[in-house]
Amino acid sequence: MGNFGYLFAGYTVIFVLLGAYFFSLGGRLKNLETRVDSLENR
Amino acid sequence: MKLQKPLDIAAIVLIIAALYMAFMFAPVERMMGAVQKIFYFHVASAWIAFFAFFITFVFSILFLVKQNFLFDDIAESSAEIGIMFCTIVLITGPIWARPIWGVWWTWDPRLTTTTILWFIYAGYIMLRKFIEEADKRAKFAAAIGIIGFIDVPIVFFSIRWWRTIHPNVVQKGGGGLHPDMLKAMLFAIFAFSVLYAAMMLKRVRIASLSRRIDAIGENNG
Repeated sequence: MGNFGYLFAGYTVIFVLLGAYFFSLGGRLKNLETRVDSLENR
Repeated sequence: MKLQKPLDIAAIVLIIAALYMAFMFAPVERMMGAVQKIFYFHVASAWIAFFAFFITFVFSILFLVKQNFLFDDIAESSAEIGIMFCTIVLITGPIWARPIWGVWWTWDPRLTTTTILWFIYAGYIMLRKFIEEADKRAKFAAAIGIIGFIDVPIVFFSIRWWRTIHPNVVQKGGGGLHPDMLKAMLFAIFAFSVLYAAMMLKRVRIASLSRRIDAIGENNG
């Protein structure tokens, strides 16, 4: 029954991957929107 | 995008609720103990990966038929998100297997076919990076998006076609799953579906903006 270490590791992997990808999408989107704006205003 | 923020918030709230369902609502499995709770998000990730690859399959066909680059953007975005969920499946599976099976990995049909699935879509993403010409890239990627999907039903049915030690919960009676465990699993799938939608909205916009930047670059010579 003492499997909490594996359980903790499993959910850590899930949330690190999901969180990193989710927030990286936000960052990439913001970056591209800024680039498009600056290119179109040129 | 007006829908983006509500969808992001809904996804976060639903995932917190899915955690509550997994840890507080669903009972602790008698034989495996606490580690079995990896199951809820492991299965949900697998279903979303399958669904994402199905969307890639459908929009790859649509691209080849209609030659509309929006369909290519959708196919690409879904493949990238699918591979992320497939990675979660391939990492959480061994973490769950180690205390239960006594090994991190075994070349079981379900595990092997899932690994092949990961490599197919990793190849899809790599191919897209290597081909510079947009039309050629979209056509080649669509071909992989269509042919690669053949592995999804193979992964699904592998535990019925071949001898396996992987549990089978998708069968009549839920594979002996407690009704509350089934509810927690279905809720996790729902929460991840909303997260998939939120990610897709962002990722498709990224793809279309990248296309726009390429077009501006070409127009400027």
